[in-house]
Amino acid sequence: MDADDRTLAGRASDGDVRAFEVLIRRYGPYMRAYSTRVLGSTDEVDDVVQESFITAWQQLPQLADLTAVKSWLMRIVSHKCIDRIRARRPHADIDDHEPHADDGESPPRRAEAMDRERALEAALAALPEQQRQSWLLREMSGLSYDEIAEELGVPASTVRGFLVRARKSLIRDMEGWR
Amino acid sequence: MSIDVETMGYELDDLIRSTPGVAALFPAEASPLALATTLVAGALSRPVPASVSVSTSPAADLADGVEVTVKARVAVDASWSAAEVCRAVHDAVVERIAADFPAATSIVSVGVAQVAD
Amino acid sequence: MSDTPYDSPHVPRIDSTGDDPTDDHPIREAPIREAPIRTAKALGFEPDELDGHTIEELSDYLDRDGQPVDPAIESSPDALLALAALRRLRDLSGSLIEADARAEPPRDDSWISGILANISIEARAGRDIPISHTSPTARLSITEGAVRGLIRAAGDSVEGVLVGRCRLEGDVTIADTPIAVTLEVAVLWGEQIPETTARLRSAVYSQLLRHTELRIASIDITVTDVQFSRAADDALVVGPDEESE
Repeated sequence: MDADDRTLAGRASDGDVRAFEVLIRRYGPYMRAYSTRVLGSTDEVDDVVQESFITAWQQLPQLADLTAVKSWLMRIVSHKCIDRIRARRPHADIDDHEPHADDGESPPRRAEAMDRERALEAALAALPEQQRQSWLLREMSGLSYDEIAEELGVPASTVRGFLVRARKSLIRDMEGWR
Repeated sequence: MSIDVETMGYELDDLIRSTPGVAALFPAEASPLALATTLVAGALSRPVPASVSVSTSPAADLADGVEVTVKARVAVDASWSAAEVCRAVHDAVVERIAADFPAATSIVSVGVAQVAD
Repeated sequence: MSDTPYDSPHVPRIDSTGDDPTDDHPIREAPIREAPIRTAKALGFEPDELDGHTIEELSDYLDRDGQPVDPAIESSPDALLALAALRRLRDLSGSLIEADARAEPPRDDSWISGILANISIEARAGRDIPISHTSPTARLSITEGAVRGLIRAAGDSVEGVLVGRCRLEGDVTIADTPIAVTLEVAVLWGEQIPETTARLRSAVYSQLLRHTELRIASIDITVTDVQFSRAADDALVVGPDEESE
């Protein structure tokens, strides 16, 4: 029987290693995919996702809503990724006022031959750091505005601002607004 | 003469392992994955099934009144009764200490950490 | 959203007017396969270009699946176009991570064992539940974690049931305290839930009786999910049920 998340998380929370392993196999690929997007490289991804699952095992008994285990895992991995980025560039207080935020000179105009996903990839990569983080946390991890705010250490209103700008840039890049 | 707690630990470990109903190891629950079985065993702090620690008080000299404290942690085979096996382990340890060191008193705790299929 | 040209495999266009593609406001032609609703009018992101609506407002509207219906948005062609673009972006985001995840090479077992080697079931030992003995120096116990494990194993022995979270309510550390066992379970579709839970209850009870000295006051079972076997998947599309007893 293909166990549902709540059942698996409940078992893992009670100490069932086998259930936890099923969760690792089920959501590990998402967490890896997400980390690769955020970190922009793969050499740290293995470690980040492993650490995330170890943290998850430790904290699982405190998870109140077991049905939310996927977004909870995504939040853990998001957090680990952000820690990595901070450690990488201790002083780079990720500036949102980079030139191409809203001015339309983003790259993927030459994306003619790329498929849509590749085009989105490129458009994402061109976003300023915090916009990209916010967008990934929102669209890929499914976090709420408040949760993103907490992760990034900025007010929720700022997160809303990041997301508006990110969406505008991405839509413009993806659709070629007329 | 003194009690060598390390040697005693090994002896009691052997004794506990050979007590009927003590599981051969801590397997993951009914796991079809041999992998997980190995890992759960490996993840524990000490080789399973029995983890034993022995201490004496106030000193290791075998004068009258020495107290031997034994703490054991075991896995029990599910086809037995955890409570019964737990008592049997306790009794075997107490008996062994009494036989080897008649002057000592023993305080033995046994915890069942897993009931294994 | 199937009525706009962007749903077909989409290739971002370079407008054919020869404008510098980096120009902020290139003049673009309408797409070749024009949907009726579309106009060649330039679209923007600002409220005055969206009949007073904002991208943020439209994003929120999309997030709540257009409920409740907002007539002001639904009657604004420009807002609807922006909304459609936001929806395409969201769908594409979903498909991007799905594709990413699918493209992940399957992890070898050593990667998973690297995780499992760093977790410990001792972290789940819980409370010590006493086991009696006639000797006053005996300190016998079974961990709460071990008891949960045997409850899961008992549940797994019952066909059509998978035990999830399990709680022992009451002070298990004091002998003879009445204890309520609460179980969350997933039940396979097609099982008669009352009969299945009765079998589960009896299996759990007999195992607890065999291995522990707990005084079981009740075994409360909540069915939190109904699972479909793979064979039944195609025939039945019903959401997970919530049933309590």
